[in-house]
Parts: sequence; C-alpha cells; structure tokens
Amino acid sequence: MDRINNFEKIMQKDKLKSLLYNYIESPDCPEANFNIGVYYHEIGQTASAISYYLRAAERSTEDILMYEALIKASICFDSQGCRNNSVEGMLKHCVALMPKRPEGYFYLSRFYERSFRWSDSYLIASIGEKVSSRNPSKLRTKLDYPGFYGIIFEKAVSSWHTGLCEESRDYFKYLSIYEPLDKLHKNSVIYNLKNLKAWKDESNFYSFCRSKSQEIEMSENNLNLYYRKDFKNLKYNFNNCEHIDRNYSEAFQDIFILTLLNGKRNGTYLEIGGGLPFYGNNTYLLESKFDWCGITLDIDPESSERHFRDRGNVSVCLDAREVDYAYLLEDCRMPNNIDYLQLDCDPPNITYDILNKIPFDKYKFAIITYEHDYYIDETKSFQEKSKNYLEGLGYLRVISNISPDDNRPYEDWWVHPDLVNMEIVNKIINVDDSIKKSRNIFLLQ
Amino acid sequence: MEKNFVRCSINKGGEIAPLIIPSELTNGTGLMNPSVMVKDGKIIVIIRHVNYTFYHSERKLFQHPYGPLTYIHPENDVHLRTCNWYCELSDNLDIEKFFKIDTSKFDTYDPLWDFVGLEDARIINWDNKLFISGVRRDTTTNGQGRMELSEIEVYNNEVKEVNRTRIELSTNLDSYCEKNWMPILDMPFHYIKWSNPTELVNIDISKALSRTVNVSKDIPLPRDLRGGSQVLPFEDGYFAITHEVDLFSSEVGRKDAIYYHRFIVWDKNFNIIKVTPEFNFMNADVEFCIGLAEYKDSYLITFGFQDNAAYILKSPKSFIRDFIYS
Repeated sequence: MDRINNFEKIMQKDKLKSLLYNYIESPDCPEANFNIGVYYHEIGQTASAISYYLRAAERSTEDILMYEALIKASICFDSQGCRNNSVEGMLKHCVALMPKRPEGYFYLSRFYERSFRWSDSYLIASIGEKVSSRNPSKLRTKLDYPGFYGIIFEKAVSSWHTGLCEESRDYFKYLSIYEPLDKLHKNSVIYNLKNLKAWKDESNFYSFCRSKSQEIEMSENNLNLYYRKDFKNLKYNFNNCEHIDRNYSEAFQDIFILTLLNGKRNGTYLEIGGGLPFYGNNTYLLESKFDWCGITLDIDPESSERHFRDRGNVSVCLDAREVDYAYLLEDCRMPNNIDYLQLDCDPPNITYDILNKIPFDKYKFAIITYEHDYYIDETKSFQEKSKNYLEGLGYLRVISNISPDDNRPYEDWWVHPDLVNMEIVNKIINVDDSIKKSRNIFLLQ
Repeated sequence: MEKNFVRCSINKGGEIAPLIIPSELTNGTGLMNPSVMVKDGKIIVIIRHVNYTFYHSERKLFQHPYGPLTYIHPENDVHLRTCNWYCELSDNLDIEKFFKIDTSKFDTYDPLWDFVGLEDARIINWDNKLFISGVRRDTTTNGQGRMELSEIEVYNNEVKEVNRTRIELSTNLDSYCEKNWMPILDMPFHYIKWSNPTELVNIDISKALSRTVNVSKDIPLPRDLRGGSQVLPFEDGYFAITHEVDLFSSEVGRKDAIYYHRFIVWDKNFNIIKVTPEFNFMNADVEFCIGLAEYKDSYLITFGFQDNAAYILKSPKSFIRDFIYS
C-alpha cells in the first residue's frame, strides 16, 4: 500500500517528531511522556501510547497527571479489545489513587456493567456516588466521561440487574428530570423507563402532563400564530421560510430568531424558563425544522419531564437562580457563541437575577429575548435595569415592548452585533416607547 | 553508562523518526524491533508487528495484575503472534511504501506453540537475494526455537516470502532456543551466533544446517553478550550492536528485566577488539536493536522501545566512531 503523503499526514508526522524530540530532551519529564502518549493515542497507536502513559504516571509527582494517564491507558486497552483484566487493573489504580474523583468510578462501573458483572458495577457506582465530587477540577484532555450523571446512570442500570428494581426506576426517573443528559444517555433512559414500566399508567401520565396533540390544539385556539398561508405577507424572508407550516412562539420569537439568522440550520440555544415543550414554545420550530439543539431549564418537574420525553433537547429541572451556568454550558459542550438565549421566568426580579448569573464573559449570544413583564412590573424598573445591563455588555436592543396583543408589553429583543447580520437588524430596529404587537412586526397588514 | 544514546547522537547532528504502520491495519498493538538495510541507495526497513501490548512498570508503582512485566495478548487467544511489514523509506526517514509480508505459502499448518511467526527478523541482501532472518518457535509442541532464513521477493504491490529454511544445528542438537544470530553483511550465509566468546557459523542452505567455523577467545564482561544487529564491515574488521539482559524477580517473585546495548568491534578474524560501555537508546528499561546499516555519511540504527514502538535513528559516522573509541 502506498503511503499517501498528503499535507495532513506530513503535519501529523512533524507533530509526532516534535513531541519525540521533547521526550528525548527530557525522558523523565512526566508531561513529555504524557504528551507523546496522547499523540500516539490519537492516531490509534495504543500500544505505544500505553508505554508513554505508564512512564508519565510513574514519573509524575502530581496525582492528577498519574490519574489521567492511567485512565487513558485503560481506554487504550479497551480499544484493543479483549483485554479486560488490563482495563480493570488500570481503573482500579485510578480509583485507589484519587478516590474523590468521579471518572474512575464511572469507567470502572461501566466496565463491570458491560462485562455483566452487575454487583461489581453497583458497588463501584454506589461508592462513586457517595464519595466522589460532582464538580472535579478539569483534566488535561477530553474524556468520554459524560459528567456525574454517568455514575448515576450506571447505578440505575446495575441496580435493576441486582434485583433492586424500584431503586432502578427511581434513578432513571431522577435522571430524566434532574440531569442534563447527552443524547446517548437520554435515549437509553427513555428506553429503560418504558421497558422497566417506570411510567406505569400511561394515560395518567399523559393527562397529568398533557400531550403534544393537546398542546398543539390549545396553541392553535389561544395564540396568534404564523401559518403557511401567511407566507405571502411575510415582510422579511429568510432561508426555507416557505417550508414553515406554523410557528409555536407566543409572540413570533421563533420567527424573529430565524429572520435575524437567515434561517440558520444547526443552531444552538439556552432556554431558561422553558415552559411547555410545544405550547408557546420558542425553540420547538428551531429544533424540529432547522435542526437546532440546546438546553431547556424549567423549575417545574412535570414540564421538564414533558420536555425530556417529547423533545430532542437537553432538559433540566432546576431553579434557574441556582444554576452554575458556566458549568452547565461546558458540561453540555455548548460552543462559546450560542445563537439564542431565552430569559423568561416570573416575576421580573427573578428574570433579572438570572440575567446577572449568565457568564457573558465566556459566552456570547447572537439573540436574546428578555422578558421584563413591564405591564405587570409594579416597580416599573426591570426593563430599564436589564437594558442598562445588556447595553453594558455590548448587546443592541432591536425591538422594545413586544406584546402578543395590543396591551401587554412584556419583552425586549436583543442581538450581539458581532453575531448577526446588521443589515437586517437595521431594517427591523424599533426601540421607541410604543407597544409593538409582534404579528405586525413580521407580517404585512 | 549512557542512558540516552539518541540524545547524544542528535546533539552531534543525528536525526530520529518514528516508524508507524496505520493502526487500521494493526489494531494499535505493538510495532517493534525494526531492522534496516540499504539496497541500491534505498532504505529498507522490516517492522515487527505483534498482537499484544507489552506492559512494563519500570518503577513498580502501577504494576499490572499479572506483574511489572507482562505481555497483554487478547484474553481469548493465548498466542503471541508476529507478522512483519516491509517498508521503503525516503531520505528523510518517512515511510513511502509498506507491505505486510505475505507468508501464506509456508504458513500452512496450525501453530504448535504460543509464540507464532518469525520474530525479530533482520534483513540482509546475500547473493543479490533479499532475506529476513529471525527465530520461529511455532513448529514444535515444546516451543523449540530455531533461526530461519526466509527469502522475500518485492513486487509492485506486494512482498512475498518465496523460500523458508529452518536452520538446524550440527552440534548441541537439543538446544532449546536459538535466536538473535547476527547475519554478517558481506559474508553470505554466515552469522555471529554468539558474541562472547564469538562463535561464527556458516549455513548450508541445501541441507538447512549450520556449522561452527570459528570460536574466538572470550573477554571478561558482567553479563552474557547476546545478539543484536547485523554485522557490518568497520575499518579493518567488523562491528555490530549487541544486547544484554538483567533478568530478575521482584520481592514477590514476579519476573522483570532490564536491557542494555553495546557496540562490539571485531578484527577481521572475529576477535573482539573493542567493547563500548553499555547504553540505552531512549532511557527505557526494555529496548531492543536488531538493525544497523551504512547510509551515506551516517549509520542507520533501528530499535524497539518497550516492545511497543519502533524508531529509526540516523547517526553521523563520526559520532559513532567517537562513541566507540571515547
């Protein structure tokens, strides 16, 4: 087989050579060993990687580097297949070395789970749940450790197989409501909740939380929506606007977002105060027709459970005032530039408190819809406070006093000038004191 | 003792490169113990690929459940399998072509022992034919090792083993394992079978038999000198790189080992006239060199690192001479 000498491969080889020369210069330096191990690992040369990881672990005086090198060595053995004793041995070293870190428990419990060693899996997950940290310091490299919920997930699975069925159901329910799961774990939790009959009475569940069809029907009766027939009257066209059958937002927020971002596909969002997954929801159109993904937070467990079951997004049931947003966004691997932030929690002082918790120093949002509820704000202060705060961060108010009807000015809409097309912003912008009925902003009369 | 021969060489103008076969073709397991030769100006390397990963806890802090030194093969296959890759390298030591050597013409039997394949194959050009020569232990139920000489032919898109000779002994017939014989480049079908005392053997291919032709006087050294690279002409005699092993058990009785290398210089009658101090290539406890070749103003040296990685070092001739005679 001829070696393809393309640029990428030359660069790869040069990188390896450079790491190799670093190693040769300081062969007892733990970092030099670790770094060359990482590189060999990345190109699939796992035997070579293991040698260097082991050397790094044995030469380091830092527990954290030893720990990470040993975890990565275990991952290398795992990728070679059929080396279970080696995978297990490496992970036991990790847990013994840093018993307060969660990753070792997760990998070891998962290893036992995949080996059908249920009681071992349960034991390790239980210890991990009790003693390890939910927010450990960062490692040098990315692992496929999903977060602390990985340990809970392993406990949920293994407890079922050890006969602790109610415990298993409870853990799966907990995961469905309170943890921001990745897609893999989410699908697995849904599958298990159904199969383990955690939702025993389907009709009760649906009536309790209502159903998608009920929500759709209710929104069509109660909200002033956009329909395909309105297309000819749409003031600002965007990519694929002709394919939209209807929207879901209460006041055209979804249409606003798509207009400003020209029908962007695969966008991202953080939806604080998610409410119902369909009725008056600002992200369902984005997700279902434009392949967006994101995180929805709501304090109401029933609402979160509905999101979890019926939507593709990450759904978290938390008090939005108590969330560490930097941690959440990082944990969910959100990009630093996020397309949409919804802030919609009642009453207005709470929404403002949450605004102040958003890590704007690390994350920028192309569009923000901010609910100040001016029409019911007895202090009449939070619209102004939010305006000052967001302007101070470099955001530009595009439309003020949005109302779904003629007399309920409840939101301002903002953009970050770096992340949107200012040409369209300049066409739409209107921040005078008047009440803007949302339908009139986007549709010709 | 020099723990970092490669760094010394680089400081004197040397150059090193990793030898890698894509992991899609190897499952990422060990690439090791390469050999090298130069034919018509072209650098040719043989890389040994094994189905296992060598685990060596050098400082005994994170030992494997099986001990500080162990071979991690698939748990559903106890065999330690070897195959060999033929590679052609550019002047800057990049692999330009690589082929797994097709041994199917002779691999027509079920292996009878756990070690399968031709191990630590040195490449040589004798009588205008390319050979690889190493030890094979899979033909008997007790794992008896014998050196083999395999002729290979290189085609546009493949490399094939076309002849295989298992070399039997004319004396000491019960010897359990013959390995690491060092082929002498300019003496076709001659090897240095043992370095100290130096035992020179000749192979009669037609009879598949080896015969000792010379044994020179031994010299005092702390350990047995074992085989290593090919033997190359050097000044008025020959030279090669040999290895030694410290085998020992841990306090709890688990086996462990440390390897060392030396340059050995012989006169034209294969009397040892110079032995360098022992050295490591890149600071690891288990390294193994079976490749040495002359290339322009340099020597090429190939070696395995912890049985898991393979490297080629281009070292200026002047540095090698200085190292030998310093």
